[in-house]
Amino acid sequence: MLHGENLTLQYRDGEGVVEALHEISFRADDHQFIGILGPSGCGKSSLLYMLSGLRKPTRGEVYLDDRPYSRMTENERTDLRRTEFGFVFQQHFLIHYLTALENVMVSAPVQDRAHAEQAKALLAELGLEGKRHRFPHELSGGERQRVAIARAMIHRPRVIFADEPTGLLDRRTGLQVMALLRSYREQGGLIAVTHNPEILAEADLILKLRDGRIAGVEDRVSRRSAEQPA
Amino acid sequence: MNPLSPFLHSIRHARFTAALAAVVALTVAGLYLFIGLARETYIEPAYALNRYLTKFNLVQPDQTELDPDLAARIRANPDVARVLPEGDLTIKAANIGGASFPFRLIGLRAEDAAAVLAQSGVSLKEGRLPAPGTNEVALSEEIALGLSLSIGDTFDRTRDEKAYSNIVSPLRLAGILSGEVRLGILSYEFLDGDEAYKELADFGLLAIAKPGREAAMESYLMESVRNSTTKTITYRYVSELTAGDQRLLYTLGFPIVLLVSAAIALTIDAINQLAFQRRLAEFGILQAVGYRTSRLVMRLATDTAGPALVGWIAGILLGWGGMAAASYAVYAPRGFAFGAMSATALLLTAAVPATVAGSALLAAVRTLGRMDPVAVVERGQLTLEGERFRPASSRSGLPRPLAPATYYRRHPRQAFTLFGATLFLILGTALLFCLFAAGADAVRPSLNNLLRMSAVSPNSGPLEAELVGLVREHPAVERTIDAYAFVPLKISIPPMFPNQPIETLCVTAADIAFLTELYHLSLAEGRLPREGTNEIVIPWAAAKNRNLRIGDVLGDPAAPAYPGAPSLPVPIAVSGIFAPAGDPAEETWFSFMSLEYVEPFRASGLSLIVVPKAGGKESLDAWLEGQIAGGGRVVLTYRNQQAAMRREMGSMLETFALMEAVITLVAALALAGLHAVFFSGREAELGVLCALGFTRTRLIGRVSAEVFALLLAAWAAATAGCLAVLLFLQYDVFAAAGLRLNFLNPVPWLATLPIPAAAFAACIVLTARALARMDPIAVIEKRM
Repeated sequence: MLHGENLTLQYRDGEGVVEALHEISFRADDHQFIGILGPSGCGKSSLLYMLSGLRKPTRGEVYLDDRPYSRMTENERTDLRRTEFGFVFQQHFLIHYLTALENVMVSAPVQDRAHAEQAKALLAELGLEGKRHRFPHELSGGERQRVAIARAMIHRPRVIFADEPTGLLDRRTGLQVMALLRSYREQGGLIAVTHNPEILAEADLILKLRDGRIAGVEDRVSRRSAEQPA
Repeated sequence: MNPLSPFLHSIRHARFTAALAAVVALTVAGLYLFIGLARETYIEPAYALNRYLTKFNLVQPDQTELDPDLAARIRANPDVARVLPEGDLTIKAANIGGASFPFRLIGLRAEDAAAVLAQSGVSLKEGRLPAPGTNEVALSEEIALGLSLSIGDTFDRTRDEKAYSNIVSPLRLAGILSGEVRLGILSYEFLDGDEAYKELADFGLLAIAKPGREAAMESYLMESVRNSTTKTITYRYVSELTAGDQRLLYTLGFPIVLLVSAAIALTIDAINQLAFQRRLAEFGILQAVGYRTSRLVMRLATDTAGPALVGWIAGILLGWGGMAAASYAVYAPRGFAFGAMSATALLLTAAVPATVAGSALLAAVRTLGRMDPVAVVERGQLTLEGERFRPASSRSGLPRPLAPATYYRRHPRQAFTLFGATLFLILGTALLFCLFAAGADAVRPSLNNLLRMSAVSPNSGPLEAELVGLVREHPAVERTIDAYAFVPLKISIPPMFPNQPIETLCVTAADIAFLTELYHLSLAEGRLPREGTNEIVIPWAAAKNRNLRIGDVLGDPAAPAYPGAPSLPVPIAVSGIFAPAGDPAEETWFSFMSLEYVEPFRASGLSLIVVPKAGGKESLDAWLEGQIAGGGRVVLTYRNQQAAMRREMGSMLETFALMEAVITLVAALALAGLHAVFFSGREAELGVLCALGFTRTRLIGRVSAEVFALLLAAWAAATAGCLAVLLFLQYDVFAAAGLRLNFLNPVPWLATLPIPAAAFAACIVLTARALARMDPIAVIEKRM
């Protein structure tokens, strides 16, 4: 479904050129949970931005269903983010003057009654039924992140990109949030970036990055298959 | 060094200070030019052209001749040095904006001219003084420049009907004068000896005061000589006449200044709010470490008042520059050069920094009064309660998170500020057009008098018999009527056009009946004038306007029919009042008298009224204008008078449009600045939306829709405000004065459009630019 080939990202830093990512290649299939693991500054977020079309690689190519991003206009890539992808960031980035329900509806493909009902159902499913008319500042950190997850799911994207989705949450809330994100695997894929290996416990594939390079790949599906008795 | 001084804050926040000062400077410059140019266009020329009255005064009889005893008494007054005979003719000096001002050409005896020039501080610059008994004139250089006259040029009514309506035979410019005041002199002997000019000129005395006794002589003339039969033309008298126009200017100008000031105060209040949000931590910490709220309030207020004061000074300097440029390029060639300093503008524009400083103080009190230093230190917000938004209007309704209404419902202060600023700015300019258009519409009935006829008038003497025969025999002519036209009363049209003459046609009783039938006029009261009587029938508008009734007498100096009514050689009695026309478009201002009655008093030759055959008016008018006009004759047709009126209105409109352009520019900048202030607080929101997949075009569309909705609302409110003013004018002012207003005149409505259109364009350009540069990743990573 989504794959990157030789993704390299360089940027100028003062006089010199910094290579944030070096020839990263990997493939994500439908309904897969892929984790990108690494310490701060190793290029995890940059890889996520490239895969989601937010940032262009210096070299290399990203394909969605064999359609290369480089052949798309900026508007087409933007539309792709709106229709095919969902996002959950480290900070909730909810719009501060919109209620929880309205924030979810921002990503609805059409602002109609059916999607409003769907948004309400989603919020109820995420335990926010009684709080859908509250503004972000009236919600706790975990609740805000759950609203952000609902916003990422309302349009049923093929992939949800999650960038340190539990970074600002306590451990218990963080695990709850990851459980909610993992539950999406029945409908689409999940690509999560983190420096915390605990939240990738159920990932199908873990890509380990160090200094912009792949330091290791952990294919847990194959391992789980191998470990299962015949 | 005081680290909390406003000066240090301004230096360390140069961009903010510059933005604040620039908004104030542009506003002040715009208003300075608006007020200064309006004054220099409509008020100052009246003073400049009559300043010679500070050197000498004129005394004239209101009707025929000056009482010889009175002349002797003036001569005997101890403050009077010399009394000279004089006669004068009035011409008009035109300024820009359709404004024109009467200017006296004073007829002096050859032996008196030198004394008058010396008294006036004026000398001959070029050419010579008028030779006795000749048609020669000497004019001050400014007057000659404004009238485009050079030595040797001749001028009369045919050259410019408006400027030289009293110049019935050519006068020749023989000399150019230069000095302290503006003068125009010609030969007394010529005026007195020429039959036509003797009728047209006003004769009287020219009084020169003893040195240092000018004020005493003026007081004597104004208080002891001036009466119902004697005019004393002094500088104070002219000032009293001009004071009305000056009051009108202030009445119109002051609300505009206030509205624009209010709009700018709202803009700066918004800029302050943003600045305060950015300085929340600073103030929170200062309060936490023990600075009293009152001191912080003063600090925040002076941080704004300082740049506002600098902006005001810069605005005045810009205004001076603009005035100097306008004087040099536009006014000086018309003879009305002026100094860039305008005390009125200086005084009125002080309202801008005062309003800004006042609103800053209020905002500081309001904001800092609520501030909780713990909330600032712990959470970086003003209070522990955080922002409060209005909940969704209907909990069961469909959420529309990206609709403009949702945004403004949650940001009522922004909506109020942008709405209020736009509304005030539109009203500030459009109201002027409303008043102008109302006045312009009100005078249309005078033009309608020519809807079914035209007129040929002689400059002096009678029309040539051959020419009259030629007109009568023209195949498109239905009927010709001999008429004598004069102006026994004037209608007052508040507030823009103080007076409009009502011309009375003196024709035979049969012709009165014919014209009444031709124009479908019907009497509301009384009867048509009877043959050979002093009766007059007046239009309904004049009756209402001057509160005239059947039997009232016009022209009696001892008992004026209304304040300021002119004296006439013989009093005339109102015998009838025409009813208003059913269709406002057909409204006329006809007034008739018996030709037989006025024959003995007639001051000029008869005019010829030409009534065309059905369908022949256009061709007949073209023929009259092409073949008959000129050569000492004036042809009045509906077409040429409409064109003249359009030219005059167009010229006024151009002036207003220029003023509106200045305010529109300031308004667009101010509103775009306001929008930029609000927009800068939304970078995170728009960056996230971009990251979530909203294209920049769609985001521009969304912001445009928000701006458009608000500007539309402000425009609708401003239009409603203009309509309310027009309705007030119609039903409270005009109707009582017998006037009608045309609500379909597009001018005031079109005047409401430039500000919202310019503001919309400026806001969208600004938004598009900001969004084009926005990097959603920087927003997500908080590197904005």
